[in-house]
Amino acid sequence: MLNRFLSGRAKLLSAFAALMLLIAPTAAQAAKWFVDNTLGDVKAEDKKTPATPKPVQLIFEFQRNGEPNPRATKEVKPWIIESLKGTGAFSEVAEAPVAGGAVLSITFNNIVPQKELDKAKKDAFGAGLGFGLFGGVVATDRYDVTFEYLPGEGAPSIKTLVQHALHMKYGKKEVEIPGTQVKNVTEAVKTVVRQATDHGVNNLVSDPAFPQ
Amino acid sequence: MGSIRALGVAALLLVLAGCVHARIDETAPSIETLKILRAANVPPMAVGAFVDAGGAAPVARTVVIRGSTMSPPKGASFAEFLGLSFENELRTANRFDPGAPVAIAGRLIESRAGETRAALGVRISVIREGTERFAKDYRVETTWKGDFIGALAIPEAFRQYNALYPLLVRQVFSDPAFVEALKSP
Repeated sequence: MLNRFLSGRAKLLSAFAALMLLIAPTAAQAAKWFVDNTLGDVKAEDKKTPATPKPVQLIFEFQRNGEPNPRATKEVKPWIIESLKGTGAFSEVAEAPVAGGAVLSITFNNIVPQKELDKAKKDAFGAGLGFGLFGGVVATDRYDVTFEYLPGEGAPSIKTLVQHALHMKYGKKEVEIPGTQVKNVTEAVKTVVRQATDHGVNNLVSDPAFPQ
Repeated sequence: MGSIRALGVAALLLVLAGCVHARIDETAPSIETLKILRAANVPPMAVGAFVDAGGAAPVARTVVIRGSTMSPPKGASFAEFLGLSFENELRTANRFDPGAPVAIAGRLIESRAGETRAALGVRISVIREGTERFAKDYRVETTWKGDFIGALAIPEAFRQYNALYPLLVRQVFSDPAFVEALKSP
C-alpha cells in the first residue's frame, strides 16, 4: 500500500491527493480531475516565435513548497521537453550544454499551504473511510512555474512567472469547479505542464531581449 | 458510527506503518549553481575521489526513518554520490573536464538524518598536478516539521536529506577561497 503511495503520478500531486490514494485507492481513482480554466492555451494571435530559433540547454526541477522533489522531476521532465519542442521557439532542446551557451531553467513549484494540508488530511480520512457516501472533498494543487532564460555566457537573464492550478473533486461535494474536466490524473498534469510551458516560453520570446 | 470510524482510523494507521526501501535520487542541477560558476569564471576541472572519512566504519550509513530505509545508488556509496553531484553540476555548467590539471576531491565527514533534522558535511580538497593546494570543511543542515503520519513523514525525511547534496555543492562553489584555490597556478 505504501509503495503505491510512493509510486506513479500520485507523487506529483498534493499531499491530500496522495493521502487519498493511500487511504482508499479505488476512491482516489474515482476522483474527478479538473485543469483550472484561468490560464488556458496560448491564443494563436498571441503566439510569438523567433525568426531563427537557437538551441537551448534545459535545467528542470519540480518542487513542493520550494523544496526539490527529485522523483517528480524525473517523471515530469520528458513532458516538459516535449512541450518545449512543440513551442517552436528553439532549434534544439538538450540537457547538455549547447552551442552559444543558452540555458533555460524551468521550476515547477507545487504550493501546498500547511493550513490546506491539515484540512485535506481531515477531509481525506472522513471521505476516504466513508467511500464518498458521508461527504466529499475538493482539493486544489497550485503551481508557480518560474522560467529563467540565459541567452549565453555573461548575458543577463530573462525571467517570467506563470501560475496554474489543478482541482480534484471526490465524493458528494456539490460545488462548482472552475476548471475543465480531464479523463485522469496523468492527463491533468500533462495539460498543466503543456499550458504553463507554452505561456512561459511565449512570455520569454515576447521579451525584446530574447534573441530573434 | 463514531466508533466504527475510530476503528477504521486505527486500522489505517497500522497500514500506514509499513516500511519503504528506496534509493537516493539524483538531484537536478540548478541554474543558481550554473550562474555562480559562470560569474566566478571557474575553470574546467576534474572530479577526483570522494570517500567516506570513516573508512571501514562509514559515517554515511543507510538512512533509517521509522524502519524505512534509503540507500545510496546501486554500486556506490553516499560519498561517491556526493562526488557525482559535483560532477553533474559541473557538466551542466560546461566546467567538467576529466583531463584538467586541477581537480576537486572530497571526504564525507558527516551524514545525519532524522525525522525533523538532517545534516551533511564534507572536507573538500583542491588538487593540482597531484598536490593538495587547498582543504576546507563545508557543512549544510536543515530542519523541518515532522508529521505523525508515517506515509508523509518518511518520504519527507528522505527528501530533505536528499536535498542537502546540491546545497552542499552550491556552498562549496560559492566560497571565494575555494574559487581562488582553483584559479591559483
